[in-house]
Amino acid sequence: MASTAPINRRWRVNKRQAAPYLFIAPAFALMTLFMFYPLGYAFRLSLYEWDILGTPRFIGFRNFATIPQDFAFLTSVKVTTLFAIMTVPLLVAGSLAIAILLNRKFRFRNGVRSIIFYPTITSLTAIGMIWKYMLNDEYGIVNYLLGQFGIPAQGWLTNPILALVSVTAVNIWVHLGYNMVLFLAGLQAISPEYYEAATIDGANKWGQFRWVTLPLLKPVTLFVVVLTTINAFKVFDLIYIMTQGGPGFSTTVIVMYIYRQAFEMFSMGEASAAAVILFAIIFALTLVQFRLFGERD
Amino acid sequence: MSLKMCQGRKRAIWTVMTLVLGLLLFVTAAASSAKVQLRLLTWESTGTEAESRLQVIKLFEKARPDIDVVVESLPYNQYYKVLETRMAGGTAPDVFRATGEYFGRYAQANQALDLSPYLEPGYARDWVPAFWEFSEYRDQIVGLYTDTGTIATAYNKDYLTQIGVQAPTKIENAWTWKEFKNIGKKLQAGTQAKYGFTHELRSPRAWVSHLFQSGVGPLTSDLSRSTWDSPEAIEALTWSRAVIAEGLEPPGAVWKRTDSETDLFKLGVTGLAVIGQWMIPYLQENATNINWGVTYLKQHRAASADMGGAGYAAWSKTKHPKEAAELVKWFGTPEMMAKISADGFLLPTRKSALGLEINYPYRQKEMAIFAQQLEMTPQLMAKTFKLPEWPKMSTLIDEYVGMAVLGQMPVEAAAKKLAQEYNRLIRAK
Repeated sequence: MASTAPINRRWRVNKRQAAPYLFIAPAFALMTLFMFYPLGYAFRLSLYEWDILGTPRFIGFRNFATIPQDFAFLTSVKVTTLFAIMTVPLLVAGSLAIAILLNRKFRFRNGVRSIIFYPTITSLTAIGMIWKYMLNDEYGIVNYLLGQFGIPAQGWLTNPILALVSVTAVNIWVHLGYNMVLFLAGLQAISPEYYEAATIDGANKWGQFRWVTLPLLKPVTLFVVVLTTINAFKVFDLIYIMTQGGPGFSTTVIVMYIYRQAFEMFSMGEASAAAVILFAIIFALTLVQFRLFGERD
Repeated sequence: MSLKMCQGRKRAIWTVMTLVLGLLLFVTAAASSAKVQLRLLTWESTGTEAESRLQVIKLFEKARPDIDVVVESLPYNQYYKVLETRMAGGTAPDVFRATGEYFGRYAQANQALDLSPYLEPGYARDWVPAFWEFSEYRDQIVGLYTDTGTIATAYNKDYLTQIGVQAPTKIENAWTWKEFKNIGKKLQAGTQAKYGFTHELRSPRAWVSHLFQSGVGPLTSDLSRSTWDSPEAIEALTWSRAVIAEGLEPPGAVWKRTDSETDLFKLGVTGLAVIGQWMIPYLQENATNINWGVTYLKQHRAASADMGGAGYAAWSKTKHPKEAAELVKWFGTPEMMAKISADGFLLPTRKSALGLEINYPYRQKEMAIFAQQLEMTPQLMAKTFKLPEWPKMSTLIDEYVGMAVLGQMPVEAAAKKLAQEYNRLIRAK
């Protein structure tokens, strides 16, 4: 009898130690199946030449050497960078401003919040289609309204520069509500005592924002900036619906290039290599953002 | 009742139930094994054509009661992605619809069933040679190109009357590039049309017919080299660029487009529009406020038309090759071809089907113009479209010609780039 007691105790200890792993096991299994495996497979595929139907042929890092010479890829990097440069600051600043305004008490506050959040929960395909019709050169409502004020019709989706501006604007409009909610949560977590102390110290509204709100919102801001940057580099659906990357390559972003290589040029290896490059770009940018915003805290 | 009797009765009930269940299972299994189920994948097409295809399948099932056909339709822009992913995953349908240019690709990748063992000797003799071209890959027959279509010029009759121009009634009198452009200018100046026309920039394949009108195709006649940097190809690109730059054609009607050329025509925004014959039902139904007709495509050094349409092929790994081949053959019978053509505003590809009287529900005269225009299709176009590399080449036209005509890239630079890319694809072959 005496010899079974330590075994039971060890079993109980092992059971307690194993419990957390067992709890996360289902989630981990699903993530392995649907995330880590495809990710690893994409890395592997980037070293092959494969047109979907034939047998993959190992070619080492050749795809990584050819892609940067591809005009379409270089253009897509340029377009994505421009898209991100326009999107990230405007989306972060805009959603912060709206969150501050909607953090005050006024009538219909919740209604206004809901209206701004509404595009976030709407199908991107539906949004893309609606804006595509609204911005149409010939029969779109935007040009019609401009015409009422004597302003000539613009090629919102057919002029290369305006097309990029248009898809950027719609993208900002779509994501504004989500970021606003994140900032609202951050603002509501700031204790009013900080503002009282700042007021006693003589801080005006700008001073309160500069020295209380902004520093205390830093973790949320970091999260929003990182998330917005990642989303800007991963954008696809909206642009695909609105312009299909055109006119020419003027709205062809990197993910669209990946799609083109995979399903129009049937070069799965090159598409995977471009996906790996995109992963590296996003990873590097995220590290930089953490270094800039995060560490000094 | 004694316990023994009760047990005996229970056993008897169980025995009967087991026997009934066994019999049911046997009957179900026998019934399911007697019928072969074929899966057919197609893309969504206009209502009349889709309905007609279903009727043809019903007739097949009636003729072959041992075969069931399950039809699945996908939107065209997703079609080949889904089909090829399923091929790669080993779950492709037994029979699938494809445009001619994909036959070569699937044959090269051993994904298309060789139909030759299932076809009678001399079967090819009844087919129009340009379309049979798509069926052959090396010594195999990899699909049947069962219906076709092409493009022609739709015109607003009232607008042409206003500017005092008559549409050509004979193919040899078709407008030249110069005349076409001048008419576009007159339409802009003398009618309510904002733009003169929308031409073959509606799709890369349609634009190739504009290229052929210049006197060259994208490749030399032996398919060994690109001709994109030839003076003729540069002239074709320059012409398309000029009509956009001069505001004769809306930039939104260029491929990857935001405007539908048919809608612009329907609304009277353009006076001329290059359309496919499959758009006739749409115009008939929706363009009720304009008086419209159809004439031939413009021409330059040569006349040319697009080679539209599609056919059927069977998957090489189907479990029912004989039945799948029979279904493909069924779609290729002159009677079925004529039926789908009449209902769906298509043109048949077999001589005997062309000989049958095809009664389109309306616009018979316009359909005759499309049929006549189709005769202008160069043989080299079929050879080019048949190349397994054509789908990639088509994407490149979409992009670089698009950039050149919209002024995002100089015409010569786009031509040079296209020549380089095409030659690279040919060398890789």
